[in-house]
Amino acid sequence: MLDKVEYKKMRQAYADAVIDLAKQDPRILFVSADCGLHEREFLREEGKGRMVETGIAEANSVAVAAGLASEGFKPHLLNFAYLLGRMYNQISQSVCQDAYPVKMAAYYAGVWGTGGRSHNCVTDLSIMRALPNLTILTPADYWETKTVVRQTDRVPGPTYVRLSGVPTPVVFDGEPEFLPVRVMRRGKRCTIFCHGTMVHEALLANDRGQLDAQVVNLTQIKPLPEEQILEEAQKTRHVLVVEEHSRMGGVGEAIAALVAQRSRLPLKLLAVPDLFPWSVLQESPDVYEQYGISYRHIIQAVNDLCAGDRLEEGMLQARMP
Amino acid sequence: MSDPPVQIRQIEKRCLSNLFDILELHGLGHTGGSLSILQMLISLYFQAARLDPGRPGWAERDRIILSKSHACEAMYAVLAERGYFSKERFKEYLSFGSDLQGHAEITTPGVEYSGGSLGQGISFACGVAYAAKLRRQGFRVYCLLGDGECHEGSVWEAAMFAAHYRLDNLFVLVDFNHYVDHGDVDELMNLQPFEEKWKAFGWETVTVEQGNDVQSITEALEGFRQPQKPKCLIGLTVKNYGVPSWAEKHLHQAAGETLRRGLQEGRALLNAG
Repeated sequence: MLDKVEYKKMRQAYADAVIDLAKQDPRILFVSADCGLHEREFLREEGKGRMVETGIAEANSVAVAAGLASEGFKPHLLNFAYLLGRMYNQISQSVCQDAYPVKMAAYYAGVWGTGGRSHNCVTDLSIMRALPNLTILTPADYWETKTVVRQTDRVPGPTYVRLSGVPTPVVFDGEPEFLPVRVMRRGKRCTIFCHGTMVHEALLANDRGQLDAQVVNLTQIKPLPEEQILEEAQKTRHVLVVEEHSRMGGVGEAIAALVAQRSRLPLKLLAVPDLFPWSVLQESPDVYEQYGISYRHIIQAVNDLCAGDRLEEGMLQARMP
Repeated sequence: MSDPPVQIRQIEKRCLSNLFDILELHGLGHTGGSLSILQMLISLYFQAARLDPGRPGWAERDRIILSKSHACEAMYAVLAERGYFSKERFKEYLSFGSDLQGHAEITTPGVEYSGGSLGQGISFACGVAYAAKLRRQGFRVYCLLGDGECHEGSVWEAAMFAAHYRLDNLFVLVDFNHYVDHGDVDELMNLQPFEEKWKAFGWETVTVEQGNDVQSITEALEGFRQPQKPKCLIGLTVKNYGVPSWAEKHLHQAAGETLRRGLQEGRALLNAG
């Protein structure tokens, strides 16, 4: 199945899910700073004022959304991930401080994209993770994006959903139920924690490398489901975290801090190096390979982590009469 | 107008006395911006706005959003006088875990917006005013800005938004006290022609020469006439109004001996007037 993979846009799933929610709940609005797909058309035509356009004024859009939320509306706000930095002060003070239910989403997160170093954003989780009261969700594919958007409606406070900007491999057959932590494959040698596009890459590595690893899709980044993470980690003897995000401040650091304090398991991180990712076309060479987060790197990392095991097994065999 | 001029003068004196008490309690505060905006807050809380201190969450209340929330001492002084909470609670000001924080926040009864970082309250107010239009609610949204705050680009993003959506339920009051932390506001970064800027953005605009006169503010608020336009009142105020020695130096904050002497001076004038 993984070799004949289908690619679909998370962005499309996001729009469809927001429209579904908006049809059911008149409190749902869409706040745009010159952004959006057919959710904006739907809300403009059907919504009578529920499509709130601010023009290219991102900072204003966030605090406007907070004001709307303070009056009982549930504004969904979408923009590029690289613009979260521009909106950050507003997100922090006007949204998160008083936990207004502004449902934020950002696309173009990750290394894939033609926009170049200004646009390909791998630092969004670093800044967003630091905000109190915020729930952060990272869907693995098209289908889980729908799940996650619906989940934002169940969370009472503000949320941030991380989306890729390009079509990404589909890993679910249909819309799954929401789980903060989901074991995608059971295995004995190593637990691979991953999120977003790296779920497919880890599954690919597990199959092609015959890793016998446990692949865990971490959909809820904040609050970090610490006990479930530790529970899954302890089922194997090693931990690998892989993410399409900077190694600075990402989920890798979060899990490393958790594992270091609460268990003695050996751990390795695979993440994007400390750089601004270049423009890349879909048909370009695999940039996951360039940035050290491809399935080949995952196979290598798991085998390196487990090398001690094989040595131990080998020594045991050597001692046998 | 709910109160005749004589009565409002008494209220103003009590509010100023409250403000001095708050500043004295911990020996520091944003003296300049609090003293310049006090009369605007009194105009809103005692005359212009429709409120019920007994029901701070009343759905039809007018919303008062203090964007320059460093003027929290003035806000607390007026809210307590209006009956939102007891003056006994002034002593909690700045204490760890207290509802009376170093910038006005929604933890305090009557406060509608948690500010601190400037230029955001007007955007938030736009969201509230837009929500009122969507729901066809009749309440007004008042938003208080500092002059220096208008250096922030997001203020003008919000100004565009309000005019675009014809938010005639939004009333901005600019406390134009002429000074920012490090000098004359227009020398630091020229805001002029200020009133023309708001007009050009599509707002009905008025400048009130006596920005520290409650009655003048209230009358100007009642004088807005143009339909479908957001309103901007620019009140020309004096930073540290009521304490001449601070006003002379355009102090932003005061502490220690400066604070002690200024309070003495301010109280003497208050009692004499």
